[in-house]
Parts: sequence; structure tokens; C-alpha cells
Amino acid sequence: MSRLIRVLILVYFCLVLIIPAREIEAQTKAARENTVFTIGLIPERNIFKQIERYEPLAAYLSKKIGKNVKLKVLTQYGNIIDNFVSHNLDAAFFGSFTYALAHSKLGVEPIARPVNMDGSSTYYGLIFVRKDSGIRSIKDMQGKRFVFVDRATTAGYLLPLAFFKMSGIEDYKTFFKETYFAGTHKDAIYDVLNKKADIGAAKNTMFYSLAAKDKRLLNDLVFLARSPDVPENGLAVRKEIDNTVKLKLKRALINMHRDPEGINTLKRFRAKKFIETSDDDYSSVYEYVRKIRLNLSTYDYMNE
Amino acid sequence: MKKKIIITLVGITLIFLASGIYIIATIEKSTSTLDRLIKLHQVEIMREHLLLQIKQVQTDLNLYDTPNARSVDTIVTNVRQMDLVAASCFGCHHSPVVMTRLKDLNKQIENFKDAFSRSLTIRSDRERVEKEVNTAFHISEKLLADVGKMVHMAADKLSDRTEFTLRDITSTKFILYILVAVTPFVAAGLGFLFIRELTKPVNTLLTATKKIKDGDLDHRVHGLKDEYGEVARSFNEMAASLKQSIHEIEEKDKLYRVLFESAGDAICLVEAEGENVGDIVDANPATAKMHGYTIDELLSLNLIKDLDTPEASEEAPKRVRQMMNGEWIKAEIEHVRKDGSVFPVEINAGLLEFMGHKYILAIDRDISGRKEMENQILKAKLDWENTFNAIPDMITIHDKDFNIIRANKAAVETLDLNLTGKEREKCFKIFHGKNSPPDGCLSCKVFQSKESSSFEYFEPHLDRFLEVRAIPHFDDDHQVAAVIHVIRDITERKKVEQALQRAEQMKLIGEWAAGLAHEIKNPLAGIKVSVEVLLDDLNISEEDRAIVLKAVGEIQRIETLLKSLLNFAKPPKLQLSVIDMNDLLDQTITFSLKHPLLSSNSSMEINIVKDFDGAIPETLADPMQLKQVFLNLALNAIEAMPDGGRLGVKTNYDKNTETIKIEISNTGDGIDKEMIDDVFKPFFTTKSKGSGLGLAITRRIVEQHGGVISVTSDPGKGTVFNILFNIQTENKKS
Repeated sequence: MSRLIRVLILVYFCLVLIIPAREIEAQTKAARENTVFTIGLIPERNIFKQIERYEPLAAYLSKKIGKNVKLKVLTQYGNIIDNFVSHNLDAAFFGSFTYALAHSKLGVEPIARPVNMDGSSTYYGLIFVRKDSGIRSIKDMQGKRFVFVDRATTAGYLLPLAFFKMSGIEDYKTFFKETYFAGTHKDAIYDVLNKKADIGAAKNTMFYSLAAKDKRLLNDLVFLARSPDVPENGLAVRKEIDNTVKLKLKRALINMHRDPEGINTLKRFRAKKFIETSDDDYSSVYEYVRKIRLNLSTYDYMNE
Repeated sequence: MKKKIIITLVGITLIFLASGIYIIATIEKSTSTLDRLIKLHQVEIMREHLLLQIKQVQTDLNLYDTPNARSVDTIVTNVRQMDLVAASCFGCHHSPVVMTRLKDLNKQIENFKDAFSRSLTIRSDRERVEKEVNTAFHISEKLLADVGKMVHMAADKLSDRTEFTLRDITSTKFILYILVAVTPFVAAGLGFLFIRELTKPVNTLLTATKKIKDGDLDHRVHGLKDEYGEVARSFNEMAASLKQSIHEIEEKDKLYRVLFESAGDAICLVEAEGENVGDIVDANPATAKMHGYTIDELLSLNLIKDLDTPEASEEAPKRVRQMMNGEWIKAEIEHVRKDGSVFPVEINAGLLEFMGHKYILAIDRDISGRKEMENQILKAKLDWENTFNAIPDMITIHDKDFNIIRANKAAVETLDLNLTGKEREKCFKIFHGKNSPPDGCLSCKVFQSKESSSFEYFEPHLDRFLEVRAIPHFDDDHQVAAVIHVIRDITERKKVEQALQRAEQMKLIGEWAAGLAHEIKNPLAGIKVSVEVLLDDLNISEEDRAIVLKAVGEIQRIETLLKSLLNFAKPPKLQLSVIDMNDLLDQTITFSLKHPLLSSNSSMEINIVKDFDGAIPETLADPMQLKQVFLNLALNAIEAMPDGGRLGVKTNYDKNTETIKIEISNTGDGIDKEMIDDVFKPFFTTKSKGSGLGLAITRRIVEQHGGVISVTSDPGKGTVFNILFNIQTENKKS
């Protein structure tokens, strides 16, 4: 008889403990849901795909920092600056140039950047043409169509500009027949491949990841120039963000590869791990900016 | 039985299981069919949804770059939605054909997305942008067409399927209803059958037990199987044994009843406790007959109060107590009949517990007859014993081991026997004072000779003369079991014989003596005369004359002696005349004092005490003889008192016996005990010059008168002579 009572008491206690726990969890979840943390995404690729890629990361970070991490994909690299101001973005995965812009205009602070599967956490810019285009040098480029990615991209704009400058091109708008912004690295690459443009500029990482799926990129395209390395797109937060949140974010990202759930997220994100990023890591960007005599704080990043 | 139950249970379970499974299966089928139906609907919906979503995105595309342009977020959301819907197709569809189509669809969506994205992100001149938009739009149109086709396909299939499914479901429902309605009944039916199977045997057994209870012991249970069969078997055995037992009990009861009714002894059952103790509860006919009541009358009576006599009922409580202690008592008491007559009964009674109640069972036997016989036997025994004991002769019965096993009163008293002692007295001890049978015991010989033997002997141990007759007593085997001794004390007779013998002898001696005396007298006279003549004639000296005179004196002495002897031997006949005893005595005593013996010795002072009884009548006696007697006694007395003394003379007359008693006493030295018996013997004397015949003659004379003389003496003090005479008259001559 007493055994039965004991069992019942045990069950009762379990229930008593579990249900509130669930309640608490729910509450915390609700609590979490009450505070939204918006992270902005630059259109590296198809905006829908971009969202798909970063979604697991957002979910993981939500759990880790105890806030509801929402993603906002932007159609323009430059939008990010605007959106930070107008749409109350709390953080964003900046490209290296967009970071530099944001840092100087808004004072955003870098947290961490991903390490690619091949171990690299940097990228460089590529200038590429179709093999059969016959373009081999700057001279050949004259009067051709050049496709950029975005005014706010490093590999898609900044690096080519530096390249132009170094190559002696004063005004690229007149040098080329046509220049336009594809918007994403992929579009830029495919525009050249599909002969919608003659010369293109894009990120190497983008290029190679696309090339892994599409052999034509390697076969039909050829590189004419490459830039030195710049840090991979990393997370930077608004400087007004609470320090504890910043710390939580950093810790979450840095330790993601140690956590099984984190490992899973990394796999879906297709990165090895995240490493700490500081402003110093962007020194090469600042170098480029100086080279092309760009004033970050007044730079108009909106593509025409 | 167990198997049956298990089988049945399993069967029922299987039925239920089967029907359950069937129900579940049909439900499953129905639900899955419905589910499929729903899914199909869902597919339709989803396809429609997809269509809508694509349309939506298309609209977004169309609205792009217009005043109503949707925000990127909205666009993104819509596109995501579209993606989700598209992705969900894959969740359900698995057939390769559909999969291919879906994959194709997906690719188209991707292209659309790409194009759309590009159109959103491109920063270029209007022409490019418009081109991109158009591309995207065319893709979307194709997409819509394809999806629309799929929707239609689904719709068609759907309506068919729906109808079919609904029909299927209806029929299934119907079957289900039937099943649900029927199965319980079936199960109930089976259960009922089964229970009946179980309870039928039980009922049979119940009925059987009831029948047994009601008394039908011949009822048997048949036709049950398995465990019930075993129970039935046991039951039947039990019924059979019960019947047997009851039969036995009935027979026994009959037996006891017969015993009770036909017993010759009175058997009754009475209350043992309480205030009703003794009330008769049951009595047999013998009781009634014995006491003169009817049985009914007896049942209203109390054994102790009504049947016991007052004396018997006094003791009753004690008897009852004993019985209550568990003893079975036996007693001889008296009962009283209805007519008041009293008769002896031997009661055997004890405690009997029956049906939790305490009774006394009493078995009484009318022992009047027996008592009568007992009395007679007792009387006979007493008679015999009295006879046995009246016999003055001693009768002892000895067994082979010389034990005295019986003795009559004479023997017991004479021999001082203790027949009741632990040890038997041995005959040789009692009779002979020895520790073993004497040699040559004549009675012992009887054991061997088997003939009776008769003998006389003197037993020194008893100091008696005994005449013994030893008679063998034979047992059934004609062996001598015991010897009966009839012993007569013939001491007296012997004495008399001896006395007679002695008297004879004396008489003979007397006669011989007389003869001799007579013969001597003559020569003696001659001698005397001769001597006297000589004396006269002869001249002899004085000395010599003295000597011769002495001789003559001696001769005279011899003459006197001869005279006395003659007197003694031939006593003269009595000359009876009437005399006065006192006068005679007185005269004689006075005369005795003048005796020369007395007068010669003047120092002798004799005191004479006379005590004469005047009542003595005259009696017949010889005065001369009596004078001789009294003189003899007086002279003896005087001689016994050489230094003087008292001579007592006393007479007494006993009227009752007509006896004269004469006492002549002296205070002399007395006579010694050893000699006192011999004083009257002839030739017994203590005097040196006595003849020893004085007292003998005295006695003779007294006895001639029919009297008795005796002597008592106290050595040193004196002697008393007692003479007893009966009064003699003319008519009473002894």
C-alpha cells in the first residue's frame, strides 16, 4: 500500500516539476519572443536563398542569446546602412566594405566571422571574362560591358575600382561601354557566363561555390585579376546594443563548433566555425579605400 | 476442465481480438482512405495554394517598381511561403513519375526565384531591369500553367476517388455496425453457454447434495466430466459410504434397542444433575416388571425418591457424586415396589453423556433369589462352622507343606493358633515345637499311604495325651491334597486310666499285701508268742531281757504296720449312721490334744481356733472312719508345728450345693510345691518313722464317703486341708 502511495507522490512531484518547467520554458520562449533582435543580410546571392542559408544560424542564436533573432534580407548592399538607421537593425552580416562603411558611418562593432569549409576566413576579388571573349588585358576591356555586384561590395565594386585605378583607368564609366550592378555575385558571374556582360567582378568564394555546381564557370571563364584577401562577411552589431548581448553573441558564435547543435547549424550554414573579428582585421579594406581615395563617411553607396 | 476453460477463454479472446482487429483494420482502412481523400483534397488545396502562392509572387513581381510595390520583406515572406508549399509536395508524393514532375516544378520555382531576385537586386538601366522582370514573369507564367495542369489532374482524380471512398466507407460502416451489434451477442451467447457448461454440473451436484440432505441416500451423480466428474465420483462414494454408515448405525441402534428392551436386568436412564437428579428419563420393560409399574408411570417417577428405599436414598447423593467423578459404581441396596414390598437390588451405575447432557445409566438386578441363596449358604456355612467349632476335639487340616490351613475353635484355642496371620503355622511347630517334621510322624505317613491312620501318643510340647486320627482328603485327581487331623485330648482319660490302673495295681498290691500280711501275721504271732514264752521261761539277765523286750517291741511295730497296711489295702466297709459333723470334729480335735505325742512335749503350745457352721445338717457317714480322718489330719497338723502354732478348724455349709466344707489348717512349715501332689500317695512320708499311709487312708475314707480332699500349702506359713462332703441321706446314698 505504501509503495503505491510513494509512486503516486513521485508521479505528482514529477508532474509538479515538469509542468511549471514547461510553463517557464514557454514563458521564456514568450519572453524571448517579446524581444526581437534583427540581423540584416546582404544579397550575396539569391535573396531567398540567402534567407534559407542564414535561417538555421538565426534560430541557433535565438536560443543562445535568449532573444527572437529575425533576419531581414536586403536587395542592396547599400541598404544595410539605411536599414540600420531606418529599420532598427540590431546587427548585420556585413561584407567587408559594407562593414567599413557602417563602422565609419554608424560605429558598428565587429563580433565574429565564419571560417569556410576549406579553412579560409578571407576572400578575394576576381575579375573574370569568358575564355572565348578574347579579352586578356585592360586594353581589351575597353568598350566592353562590365558588370559589378553592388556599390557597397568589396569584391563586386571596390576591388575592381582599385584595379581600374591601378590599371590606369581614370573614369570607368567612360572606359566601358556599359557598367551596371547585377546585385548579387552570382548574377554578376552568370551574366558574364551568359554573355549578358563581358567582364565581371565577384567574390572568389561565391565563384567557387557556384563553380562546384556548375562546371561551366571553370571551363568557360578565366580570371584576369585577383585582389589580396579581405575578411569574410562577418557579424557586426550596433554599438548601442547591450554589452551582455554582444558578449552572448560573441560567445555563441565563437563556441558554436563545440556545441552539437552548433555543429549541426554550421553544417547547414556551410562553415567550419566562427572566429573573432576586430576592426584591425579590416585593415586591407581601409587600405583599398585609401588607395582609391574614398571618403567612407560621405560615400554614396546607392547604385545609380 | 482447465483446458476447456482456457480454450473457451482463448476462443472468446480470439473472437474479440479478431473482431477488434477487424474493426480497427476497417477503421484504419476507412480513416486511411478518408485520410487519402483528405490528402487528395489537401493536394488539390495545396496545389491551389501553390498556384495562389506563385500567383502572389507573380503579383509581387508585377507590382515591383510601381507605387504599390510590396516591401522586400513581404516579397521574401511570400517567396518563402511558396517554397514551403512546393517543398511540402515532396512530403507526400513518392511515385517516380510525380517526383520527376515535382522536381521539374521545383527547378522552375528556383529559376523564378533567381530571376526575381535578380530583378530585385540588379542596379542597372531600365532596359536590363525590365528584361529581367519579363524573364521572371515568363517563368512564372509557365510555372502557373504547369501547376494549373496538376491541379486539374488532381481535381479529376479527386472526384472519382471521393465518390469511391465514400461508398467504401458507407459499406464499411454498415459492416461495422453489424459487427458491433452482433459480436456482443455472440460473445454473450458463448459466454452464457460456457457458464451453463460450468454451472450445470454445479447445479447437478447441488441438487444431489439436497437430495442427500433430504434423506435419499441412493441418489448418485452421473454424466459429469473432468474435474466435475471427479467431484461426482467422490460425491457418489461419499453417498455410498454415508448410506453404509447410516445402515450400520441403524442396525446397531436396533441391536441396542433389542438389548434394552429384552434385558432381564432393569436398565434406566436418569437425570444426573440439577434439581431433577434421579428423574427417570427412560426405562426398559424389565424395570417396569421388576418394580411393578408401567413404563409410563416410571417416566414420571424419580429413581432416588420413589424406587430407592429411604436408607438407600440417603446414600444416593454420595453415589451420584462418585459417578459424576467418572466412577462406575456397584452397590447392593434395596428398592421398593409399587405395592410397597422391598427387595434387594444390585445396582451398576455410571455417568453417561449423551447429546451434551449428563445422565446416569443404572442397571439394576433383582437379587432377592440370590440373596436368599446367599443367606442359605451363609446359614449353612455358619452351621457347619458352628458344628466344626462345637466339636470339643481339635480338628486341624494340614496341607502337603505342613501348613495348618484350617482349624476349629477347640484347636485354635488349645494350640493358640493364628490362622489369620500372614504366615501359615507349621504343624510340626505347633504340635511338636520343632522346626521340621519329626521322624516317624504317623500323620505325615498318611500323605503317602493315602489311608487314614489312628494313634495315641503323649505330646511333650503340649504336655498332653492325644488321640490322633489322621484322615486323608483327596482332590479331584485322587491325590492327597490335605490331611484332616482329629485330635482328642485324652489326658484326663489317661489319667483316669492310670488312676484306675494304679488303683487296680493298688488293689492287687493291697490284696497281695493283705495276703502277705496275713501270711506274715501268723508266723509273726508265733514268733511273738515264742519270744514271750521264752521271756517267761528263761532266766536271762535284765540286760538281755531289755534286748529281748526291744525285739518284742519291734515285732509289735511290725504288727502295727501290718495292721495299717491291711487297713489300707482292705478297707472295711462303711458303717453309716447319722452324725453331726461339728460334734464329731470337735470331739476328735479335743481327743487329739491328749495324744501322747503332744503331752510328752510341754513346750509345744498349740492354739486351737474353732469355727463351726451351725447350719450343717445331719448327714450319713461312718463316725469311726471319719474320726480316723480328723485325727490323722489333726495329728499331722500338730506334728507340723513342733514349736507351737495355731490349729484351725472351720466348717461351712453351702445350701445351694448341699455341700459341707471342712478346713483344717496349721501354721507349720508347710509343704513344698514339688511334694504337695504326692502327699496323698501311699508310702509317701516325710517322717523318719512314718508309714506313709495316713493321708492315703484318709483320702480313701473321704472318697468312700463320696467326698473330696485337697491340700493347699504356703511353705513357711502353713497348710490347709480341705474336705468337701455332700449331704447324704437315706434316699441319697452315694
